Amino acid sequence: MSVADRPITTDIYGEEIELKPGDNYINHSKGILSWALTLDHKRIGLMYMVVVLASFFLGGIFAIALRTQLLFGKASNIEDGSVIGSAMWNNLYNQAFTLHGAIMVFMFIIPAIPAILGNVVLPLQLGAKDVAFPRLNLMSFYCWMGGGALLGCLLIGAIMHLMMGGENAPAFLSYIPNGLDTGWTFYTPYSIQTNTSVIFATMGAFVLGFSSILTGLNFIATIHMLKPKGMGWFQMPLFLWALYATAVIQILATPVLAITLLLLAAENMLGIGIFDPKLGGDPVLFQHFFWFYSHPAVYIMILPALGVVSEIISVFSRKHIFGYKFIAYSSLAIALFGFIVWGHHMFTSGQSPMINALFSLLTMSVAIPSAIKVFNWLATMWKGRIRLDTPMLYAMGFIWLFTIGGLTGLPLAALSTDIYMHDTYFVVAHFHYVMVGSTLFAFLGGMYYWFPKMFGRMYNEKTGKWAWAVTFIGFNVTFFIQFIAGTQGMPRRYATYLDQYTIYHHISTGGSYILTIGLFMVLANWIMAKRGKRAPANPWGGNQLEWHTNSPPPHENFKYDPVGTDPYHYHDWKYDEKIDGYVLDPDHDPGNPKHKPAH
Amino acid sequence: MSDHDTHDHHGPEYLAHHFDTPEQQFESGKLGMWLFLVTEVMMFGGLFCAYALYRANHPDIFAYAHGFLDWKMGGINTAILLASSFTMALGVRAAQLGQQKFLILMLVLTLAGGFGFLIIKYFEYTSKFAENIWPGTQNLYYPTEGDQNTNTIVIKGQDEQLPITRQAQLNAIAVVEAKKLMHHGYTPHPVQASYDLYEKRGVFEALHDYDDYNLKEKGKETHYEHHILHMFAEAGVAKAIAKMDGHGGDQATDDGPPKGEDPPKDNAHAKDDPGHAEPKPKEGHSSDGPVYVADPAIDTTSIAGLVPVSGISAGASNIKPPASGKTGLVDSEAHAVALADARGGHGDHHAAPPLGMPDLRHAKYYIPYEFQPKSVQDRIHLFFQIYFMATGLHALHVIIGMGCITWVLGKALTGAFSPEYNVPVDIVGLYWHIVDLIWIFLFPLLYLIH
Repeated sequence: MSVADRPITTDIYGEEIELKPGDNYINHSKGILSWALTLDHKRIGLMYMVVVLASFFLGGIFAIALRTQLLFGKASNIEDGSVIGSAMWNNLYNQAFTLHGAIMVFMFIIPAIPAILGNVVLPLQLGAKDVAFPRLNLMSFYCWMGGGALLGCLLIGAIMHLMMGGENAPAFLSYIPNGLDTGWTFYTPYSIQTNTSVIFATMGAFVLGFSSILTGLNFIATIHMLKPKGMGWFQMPLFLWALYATAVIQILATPVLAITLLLLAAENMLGIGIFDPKLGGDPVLFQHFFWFYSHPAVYIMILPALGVVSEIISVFSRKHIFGYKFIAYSSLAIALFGFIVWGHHMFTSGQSPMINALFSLLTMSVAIPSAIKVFNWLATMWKGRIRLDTPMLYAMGFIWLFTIGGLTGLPLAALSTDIYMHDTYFVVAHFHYVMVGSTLFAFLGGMYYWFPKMFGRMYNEKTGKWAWAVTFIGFNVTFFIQFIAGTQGMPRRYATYLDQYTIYHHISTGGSYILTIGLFMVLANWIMAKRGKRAPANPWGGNQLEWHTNSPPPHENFKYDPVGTDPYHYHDWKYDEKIDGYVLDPDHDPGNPKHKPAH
Repeated sequence: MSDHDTHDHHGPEYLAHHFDTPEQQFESGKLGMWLFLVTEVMMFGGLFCAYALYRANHPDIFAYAHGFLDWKMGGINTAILLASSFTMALGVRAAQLGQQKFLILMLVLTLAGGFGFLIIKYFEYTSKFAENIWPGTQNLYYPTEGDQNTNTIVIKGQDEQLPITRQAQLNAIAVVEAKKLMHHGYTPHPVQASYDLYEKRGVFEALHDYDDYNLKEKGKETHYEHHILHMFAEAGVAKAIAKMDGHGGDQATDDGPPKGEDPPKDNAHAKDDPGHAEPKPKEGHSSDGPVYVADPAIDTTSIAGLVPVSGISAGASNIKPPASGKTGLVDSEAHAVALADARGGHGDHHAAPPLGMPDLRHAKYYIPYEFQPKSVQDRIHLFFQIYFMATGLHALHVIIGMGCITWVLGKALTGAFSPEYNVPVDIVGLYWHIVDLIWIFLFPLLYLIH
């Protein structure tokens, strides 16, 4: 189609508009500084996208590295003098799973949806010109870069040690950070004893935490203060409710991680001993501190995903969301419940049976708001006119993965079964289903969903669907088998395994390669979209305010101040075959000053 | 940013382009600051949580170790911060009323309060460091294996640095504790036992001259901590103490059987001249005080019902209490008696304690370091670690707050604030108040433990 080459798109009324330089936020101003110092939330979101996807790539390399090690790690492969099972092999494995975890958690999953999609979409959905504190927003980005740089040093140091280490190591090598092998959880007392660079890693995570706090603070203030005319709390799109609940957790939980990491760094630098049993300290206190943040943090990861899915399910079912208030409140409920369940990570760490029982009960209660959401999505799809576009496929994949991940959380919340499954692959599979499966799928779905809005181009739908199929299959092959491996007793974080587990590991590793191929297909599809068809203002027919402006939006987001309406009321948008998008009858646009119907 | 200037809006110049009205902008700013304060509370909450846990599990650590902090310096700092919060609040009011000069004056005073706080903090920290109470591994009470670690004591008025082992310093503290307690009428068994032991070894003799000198020089204002520190100015004392462990048991056995008399108390003497608390040293070894017989066969756990004492006080722990006399109790019942004694059951319990000493009249119990169980001895450093982490982090916040106030002061000097636009003063004031508030919690929790 030659349409792609003509600098012409359509506005929300279906009228053709000619694209001129400087009329959207991407080409609004030129030069690297206009990006590096931008205060525009959309540009900050795109910058986040680049760096967060780069860290996803890095974390993925480590995932593939450790899965490949496990392809060969069976006990009968271990012989005297063989690489497999040697100290180097084990060290490499420990570093791989630690860096995989730390990078994926702190640099990918936590910022993925809030920092990328949230930054771009949140002010648009509010009809605002920007977030409440644009400078803080930019500062948050650079905090992320600072924290990322610290973890990057760790990474480069680890590679240098790998290449130059050994008996003939040059003297300067002892000053270079030596990777990290504690697991992303930094449990004491091992994190005090290891010779790897815990201080670097904790400081990196500390600075990344600042980024997270500033983003959350910004979002809460923006949602409170910048709602447009006509939008009360219960006219907000559910994505905003989810981001709001996420931001509450970021504000309340991240500072606790900050003090925990500060104490741990002081422990490593000064030897203060608060977490060191040898010095009279309490290592379980560290676990309490750490999980007081890190358990709510898994809701920082999943809540925005729930918000994205709520949007997509409703828009692609062409039907008003079912149980709006229930979904909204269940986001807050998950955020609050998330703060009182951290003890389930320490069922085997020596808590009192009373506390264990209490945490077990509370943990199971998280299933209630989660199930409320799932049932409401299903009810939304019920009798809807479902469009199976790529975003919808990801959203439906999300429901599948989230359900499996959520339900397998229940046996882990139950004390008797958890004692058996604790620290096995069952746990690994469970949290990958929830965190990777669910959050990653929602993130990809959200990226596809808002892609036309962010870049003004359509991706290739066919490639998108194929890529979805490959990622979905790859993910399930990788991780479903790990449930079985776990119930058979395969412990996590081991570089080698008994021969009886060989088949599980081989299937899992094979699946991880399929997943990798799928993810590269996604990436290729996005890059190829540079030459894709120009996107109409509203390709999916959503009524949230981000669809009430051009694609991509102008620098100031809207040509006129939009007025909030029911975001899930789609009837005023009519499908227009010519542009393969939805157009609005100007008379039904209360925000448009020029098209006010005469009373 | 320049790219934002392209929007047309008709508000005043301080109105950012994405806000409709100044009110909306100010409310957003304040909301943002309150949210940030929530994060501050959560962060310090973690420290308070660690504090609560350790204090609940080991109250004896806190009861013992807080005596090293100077509540007067902490109290002055509390007053300074409260005053600076008051001037900050006045500054916010001045900004709202458009009183430019008064605002500048108030900001300068607030800043001065911050400086005053930090200066006092500096002296507090350095006096702790001089006593080898450091954060981290150099802390005097840091549990070490063996006695490899050697600290240095700087002798006041001289350039000489005296190397001293930790155990020697700890023993010296035990000496001072025993001496002080005995002279003010506290006669629980462990205190008396150590007093007698040290007296026998002639340690007090070595101390005596110094104490006399010190009390005169300082006008009786000397602190408990300074006692310990300055003691080491006397190289002879330090060496004597350092050697004690090796000879303690032998020396104790040298002496005759216990005598059923009261322990040496100079209460009358102390009352006459409370500052001059040191009794005249006896010539040679004690002849009229009770003396305990060391008996290696006696289980060290039996002393006053306490759990074993550490190797630090191996000499003292060999003491066998006398068969008669009220200090000769060895069972747990006696422990209760000893604790009652420690509360002031014996002697002149109405007398105020010497300056800088823990006021035992109100203390639940007080056990000298030497007779603390090892589980406590090894954890005493944790109090100081928490102390340094909490006050250090707070001091960092004071510095950040002063930076913010300086920024506001700079703006105020250019006349940027008016009754219409003063929200930066407001939110910096909020931050300063939370810094103050955190200290209000830290001060009693760390300094005023009973």
